[in-house]
Amino acid sequence: MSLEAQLRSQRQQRISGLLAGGGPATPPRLHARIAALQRESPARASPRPTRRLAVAAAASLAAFAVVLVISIGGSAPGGPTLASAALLSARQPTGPSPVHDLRRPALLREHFEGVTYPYWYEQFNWFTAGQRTDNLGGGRIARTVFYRHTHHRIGYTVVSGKPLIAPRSAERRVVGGLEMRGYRDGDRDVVTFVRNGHTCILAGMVHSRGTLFKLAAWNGGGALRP
Amino acid sequence: MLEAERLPDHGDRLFRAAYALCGSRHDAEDLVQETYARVLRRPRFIRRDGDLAYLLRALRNTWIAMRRSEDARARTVELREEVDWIVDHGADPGITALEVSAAYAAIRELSDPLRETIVAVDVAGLSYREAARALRVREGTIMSRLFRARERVAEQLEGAAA
Repeated sequence: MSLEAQLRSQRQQRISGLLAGGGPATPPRLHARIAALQRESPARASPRPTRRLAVAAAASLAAFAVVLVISIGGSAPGGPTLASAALLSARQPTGPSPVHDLRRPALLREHFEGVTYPYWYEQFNWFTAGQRTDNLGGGRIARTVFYRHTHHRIGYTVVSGKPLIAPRSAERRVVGGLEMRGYRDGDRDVVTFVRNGHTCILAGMVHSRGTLFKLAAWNGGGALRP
Repeated sequence: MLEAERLPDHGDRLFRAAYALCGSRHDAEDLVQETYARVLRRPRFIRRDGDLAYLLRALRNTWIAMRRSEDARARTVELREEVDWIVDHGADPGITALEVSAAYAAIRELSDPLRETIVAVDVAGLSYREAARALRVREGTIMSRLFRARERVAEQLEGAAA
């Protein structure tokens, strides 16, 4: 091998060694986000074939229940009720989990009707678990983003159009200028509030309604305004 | 099946590859996160030893898609960003973090084909064969591009040192 070829080979090896031997350190928060994505992955949590029929049956029943409630329970003629919109949190996600917005750490990269969904993982350990969009009738569309924490799952639903009316008996709380109404509906707790002129609903089976109030009231350091 | 459990093991290598492609810490974080989100959304059957090559291909495709969408909207440029540089244990003791960061800066000056190739082989650690599959080119193309890429990076480093 000529001297020139030897020098060239050394240069090649030197660059290869430099790039293999070091690099930028991965930010710890990226590891946490990858772990969160992994937890939400259908590859990890896909239902077994034997459970699929049960899941499908449950989903069909839930769908039937929603249609039934919508068709018989509207307080506004032709439109949905708060109860029917809150039931969406009991249905299965049909879309992927929204991802965290790295430039606005309190938020997800998902919004509907001007309402951006919050990122609760770092603060509360609730990670996203899919989403769905439903036509509630009466020209109303609802988008629900699901969140999970241990074995609990809740839905954050935003309903297009004018705010829906909460039951008169609902508990009222005001935190940081945000007025919230909470009530029990069957086996689920519901907390509702208005953001950007639209009804937002947190609903699910949780230990206490206080959890939903706490999540709803969180303003993400000012990123979420009443 | 692509094993979701093992994917985070490649997070460090993917981040380095993403940083070498984008040249920005925030863009690299976005790119890695989006890549994982896409891959985990649609699990595939992958050979057990082929997951890094698959991830790198997904990273590259995501990078191309993100650049297209960035071209369509106003691009933000970060004026200052902090990156910690590390030298791996067991690496050549003569290597310094300063040299490593200079090498990454030199990669940024390469054309896309050369950059992708050196990232696949020297940064991500793929074999020529895996890199050829990930980038969908022939092995011979990988070898010639890698040679030219390393030469250009070496020239940049020597030019900076002179």
